[in-house]
Order: sequence, then C-alpha cells, then structure tokens
Amino acid sequence: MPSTPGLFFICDQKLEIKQVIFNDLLPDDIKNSSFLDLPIPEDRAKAHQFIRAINAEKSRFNWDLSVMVNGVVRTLVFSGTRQEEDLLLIGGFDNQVISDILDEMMRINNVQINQYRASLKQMVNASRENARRTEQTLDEMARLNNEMANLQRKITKQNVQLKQLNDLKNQFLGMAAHDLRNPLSNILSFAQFLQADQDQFTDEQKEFIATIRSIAGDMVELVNNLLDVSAIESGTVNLQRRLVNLVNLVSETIKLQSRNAHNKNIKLIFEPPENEIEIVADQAKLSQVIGNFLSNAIKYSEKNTTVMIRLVAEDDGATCTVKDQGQGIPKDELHRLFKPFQRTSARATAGEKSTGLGLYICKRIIDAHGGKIWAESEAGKGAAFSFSLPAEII
Amino acid sequence: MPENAQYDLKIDQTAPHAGLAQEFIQALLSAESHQANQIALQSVENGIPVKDLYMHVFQVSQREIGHLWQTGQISVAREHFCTAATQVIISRLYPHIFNSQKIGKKLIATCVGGELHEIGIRMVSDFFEMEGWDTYYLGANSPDESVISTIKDQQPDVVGISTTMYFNVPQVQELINSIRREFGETSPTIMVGGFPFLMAKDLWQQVGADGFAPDAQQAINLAHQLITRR
Repeated sequence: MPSTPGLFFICDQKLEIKQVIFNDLLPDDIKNSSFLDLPIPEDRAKAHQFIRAINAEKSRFNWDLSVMVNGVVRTLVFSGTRQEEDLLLIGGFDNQVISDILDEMMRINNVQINQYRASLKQMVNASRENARRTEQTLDEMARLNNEMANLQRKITKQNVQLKQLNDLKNQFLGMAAHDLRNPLSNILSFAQFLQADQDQFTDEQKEFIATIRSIAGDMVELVNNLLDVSAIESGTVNLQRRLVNLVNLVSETIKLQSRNAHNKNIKLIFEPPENEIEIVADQAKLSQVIGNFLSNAIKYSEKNTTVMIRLVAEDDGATCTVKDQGQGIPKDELHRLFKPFQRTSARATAGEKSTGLGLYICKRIIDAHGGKIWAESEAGKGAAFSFSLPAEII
Repeated sequence: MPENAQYDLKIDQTAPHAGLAQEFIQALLSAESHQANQIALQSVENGIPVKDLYMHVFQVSQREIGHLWQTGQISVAREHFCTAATQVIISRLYPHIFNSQKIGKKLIATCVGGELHEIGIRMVSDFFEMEGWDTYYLGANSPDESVISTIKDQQPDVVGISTTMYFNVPQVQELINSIRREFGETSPTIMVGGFPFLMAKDLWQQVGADGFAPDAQQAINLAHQLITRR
C-alpha cells in the first residue's frame, strides 16, 4: 500500500466503481457504488463537473471534493484520466498520493497495473505542463496588470506636475504682460499726443512718430491678448452676463472698425434681422469676438472689397457671420485657425500685424458661452467666420 | 443569488459615512458600477475628503464583499467584479490623490509572490501618497527579486508588504529575510498588513517585520513612528 493514505479505482462509463486498486481511506464496500456517491451531497455537482472536465480534456488534476472520511468531512484532492472506456481516479489528502501510488504500482508490476501506471504518468505529465502554463499566464497577467496600474499612477502624477507647471507659466505670463502693458500704453499715448501736434516736426520725425505709434499699438494688442490667454488658461474666463441686444452690439462694433475699413476702402455691410435679438451674455467679450472677426476680414481683404455681416435668429439660437471677399484660406489649413500661435498661408494685404492669438481667444469666449465657432473658406474665394449661441441663454 | 437580494451586511451603522458605504456596496452588488462611480465622485464634489472615502467606504465595502464571498452569499465572479469596479473608481480619484506637497519620504508597496489580492496595498500606498510620500507600487504577485531590485534603486524609508491569503504568510517571511540578508543594517523599515495579520495579532513579529497596522491611516502613523525611531 502507498505510504500516504489514498485511493485509486477504475470507473466504467456509467461512473460505477468497477475495480478498486488501492483504498485505505474509505469503507471497503465502495466497489459497485457510483463515484458520484463518494462526495457529500453538496459536492455532487462539483463531482459531475470534474468528470465533465476529464471527458473534455482527457485528464484533470487537483480537484477538491469534500468526502466523509471516518465520520468526518474532509477535503480530498482528486485527479483522473480516461483510458479508453474507463476512468482512472486517484484521491488523497494531497498530491503526494499520486507519486506514492505510482511507486506502489511499479512494485506490483503486472500487465494491467503497468498499463494503468503508464496512463497515470501521462496524466501527471500533462497536468504538470498545464499547471506550469497556467502559472506562467497568471504571472504574466499579474505583471501586465501591475504595469498598467503603475503607468496610470505615473501618468496622473505627471499630469499633476504639468498642470502645476502650466499654472506657473500662466502666472508668469500674466505678471509679465501686466507689467509691460502700462509702459507700452504710455508710449502709445505719447505718440498719439505728438501726432496730434506734429506741425513742428520734420517729415522724417513725423515718420518716426508714426512708426512708434504703429509698433506700440501692435505691442499693446499682443500684451492684451497674452493677458487674455493667461486668464483663459488659468480657467478664469469670468463672464459678466447681462441682457445684450445683439443687433446694437454688432452695429457698435462695426462702428469701431469703420476707420480701419475706410483706410482700405472696404465696405462693411450689416444685414440686421427683422426683429431684435436679445441674449444673456458678456457684452464686452462678445464685442471682442465680433471685433476680431471684422479686423481679420479687413486685414486679409484687398482694397475696394466688401465685408458682409449677417445676424440670424434661429430656433435653437442665433448665428453671427462675417464674410469677406479676400484671399480665403486653403481647406486643409482651416483646422489650425482656432489654435494659439498657428498661422495659415493667408497674408495681411497691407502689412498689418497678427498675434496669432485672436481666434483662439474668440473660441474660448464662445466656448465659455456654450456656443460654437467655425470658419468656412476656400483659397481665392473669401472666408466666412461664424459663431452661434445656444437658445437656452437667449 | 438574484441581483436585488437582501444581503447580510455587517456595516456598523454608527461609523462615519455608514449610509454612503451601504449605498456604495448596494450599487456594486447590483452590478451598477456607473452608479457606484457617481456616488464616489459626487461625494468628493460635495466635500467629503478622499481619505474618508478610502477609510469609510472603500475599505468597508471591500471587507463586506469579502465577508459575503466567504459566507457564500456572492460568487467569486461577483466578488471580482466589485473589486475591479472599486479599483477603476479609485483610479478616477487619482487627480485628487497625487497633488499633495512632497515630504521627502519614500514607500515601496507590494504583495508577495503568489498573492493576487492587491487592492488593499494599493489603497495603503494611495494613503501614503496623500500624506506627501513618494510611493512605488509594485502590485500583485511580485517576485522577491523585483522587490529587492526596486529597494536598491529607490532606497525607500519603508517597505509595505501585504498578503490576504494565509498560505502566503511564509512568502512574507521569506521576502523579509531576503531583504534583511541583502541590506543588513541598512534595511528599510518593513511593515506588513493584510487579513492574516489582522486575525493573529503577533504574526507580524513572527515573520520578522518591524510593525503591522490594521488600516491605512494607522499604517501612516506607525510608519512615521518607526522611521523616527531609527
């Protein structure tokens, strides 16, 4: 008998135990009973699964079943394999019983036992290989899972660091722009004073003053845009919402741009809607958006052309469009328009400057209002810039 | 058991956020991970500290779910679902966790080889992170060699080792012995945690650890005490 208590028996197709080869665990009368009657009733379904697993995979290793041993419920580890029509089943307190039984069978050494032994050895080898593969897969999965968890933690940490750096950058940008704005505004104002009283200057001096005024104006615009971007990026787009008459707002903004348009003999034509449109919005910021559309239209249009401004009330909101007859923007460049510092191949027709931030700021303002902003254009066919605001705020 | 079944939950109704924990567990048990996620995120938006969620909701729910599985009230599949859903929810809270001021202390947190239950040690390392520690989380089933090589690279103040299954306790001892053998006098402080150490109060000493804490908050307090003593 094997040194470890155990049992080894053969079942037929109906799972009846037809031959008991070793048994020093269970009562002697298990022969002719069903294998399914060995475990306690609660584990009968599990025993069925065990047999199904052997039938499907030829052998199965390490299957726990609760069995009554000497009046006490004990967990026995079963392994089994199929040999033609028969099932060879081994049970014991642990897997040691299998090697003990294999040793014992070698000692007995008769033809039938040797056949059984060969089948059992095959089962053990297959099971070991299977267990090794399963363990490898499990190790690999655990490793991948750890790696994913770590990557997620690293990415979050880096995101936090990047956000802190970005905040710092915005703070720096805001401070620098703010400190530059006042002196630049002074330079601009003094240049304007000098221009207002320029009879005393030579032509060359007048040219210098005009240049100082033009450059200072461009720099003030850039600094203002940087301050806007800094505020937007810091998440501080504070909308001062109040009831705004859009028709009046567009008309007023057109007036502010009329001097630039006049300089290039560009006509600004406003098609107002039949009825007034009132919305709750930030008047100054919307005026900034419309003003930006208009100044771009003037900047990129040739002299003696027309810019149309249309305001339309719609069921789900209102849309404002500024359409010029300028050089247009190639379709494949349209996606760059609302991103910071992105430029297209379109060029200002009178050498006007651009900060590359205006449309980005417009987009963020319209986004903050819950609206949409877009451009339609083709090279050589003019450009139309639009924004729409949703009905719920109208 | 049907999804709307009444489970025998053992939540202490006098504990902080007991109602929230109950609601969270019910959502998980009903396989409503989205709802559980909403409950957690909404709580943070309503001002409940993330630490409180960890201690009084996630820790409580994990212990409850473990109890339900152990008493046969839920299947292992349902238990795995609840744990995986909780892990996803926790990871969505990471932006709240990883923004604390660093204090110049390092933790390596790991499960021993063979141990797959990692949510507990993950929660512990998140707690250390919230306290300003730099944490290196090695996760489930970490081979001893990886732990040793990470200790060499990172030179942590504390190594936290976790196991949930009793049969992995010898591996904990083995890992601690390996660390002590490798680093001798310069060994980092070693703390252990997990179910077996909760059940047997002096087991942490038997495996050769420097300390044991029953939950994440106490682990931090103990870690500070132990590294100050050195």
